[in-house]
Amino acid sequence: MSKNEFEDDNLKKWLDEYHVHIPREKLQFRTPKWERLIRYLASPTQNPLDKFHETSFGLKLFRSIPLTGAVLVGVIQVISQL
Amino acid sequence: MRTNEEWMKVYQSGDIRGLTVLYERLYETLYSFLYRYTREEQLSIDIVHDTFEVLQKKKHHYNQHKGTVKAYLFQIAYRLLINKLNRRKKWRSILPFLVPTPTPTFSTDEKLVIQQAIARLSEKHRAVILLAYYADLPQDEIAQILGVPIGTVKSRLYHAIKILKEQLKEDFNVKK
Repeated sequence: MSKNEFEDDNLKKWLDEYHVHIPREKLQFRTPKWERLIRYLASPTQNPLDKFHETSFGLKLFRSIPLTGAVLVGVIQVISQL
Repeated sequence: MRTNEEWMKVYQSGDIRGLTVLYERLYETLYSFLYRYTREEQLSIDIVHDTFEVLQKKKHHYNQHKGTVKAYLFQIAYRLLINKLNRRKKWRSILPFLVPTPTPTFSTDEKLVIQQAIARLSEKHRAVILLAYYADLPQDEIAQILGVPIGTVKSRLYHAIKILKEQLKEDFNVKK
């Protein structure tokens, strides 16, 4: 038996302390595929803009992008009217 | 009392009671293995369900002379698990922020220590420890489940025990 490798050791005591709670009710009913998809879509994901919020440089960059964009649009409008 | 293999024969002959008995006997061990491997409740539940679904589809593929029903079921579950985890890794590399972040659950005290120690093992070592100790499977069946030679199982088990002992060394001393 495989357990022989674990005998005469404190390791066995530690391993025995790892119990798992069995969610019997949930295991009795099969989740439909569409429900799994909805759960997957509704599960929390990482914010892709986190990098911008984490550093002061990122924050400055994040704030300056709309401003730069507005200036650029203004410049393009002025040039097109000339 | 009938063995799992006898119940599988019953199921193969078309009697649904065979599947019911096999489910009742094996779902807890299977769930425990999957949960200890992933520490994700919902993923483990889904794989238990998928495993028995595959068993229904492939019931005639099972051959008693090739191994036990338990090993056959674990083999299906392990393959499903690895496929799911690989698919998740692939998605994470393509769209890192769109992939849901799993929240592994830990408990307190001693359980936390052993949970963390097992979680820190590499996937290959973790699988061998869980199958050998908790699922109580012999090495030849573990080899069959993982699709590796028995020598590789022995070597992985030896190294996994060594790593675990190293990790728990300090806690052993504290406990004494």
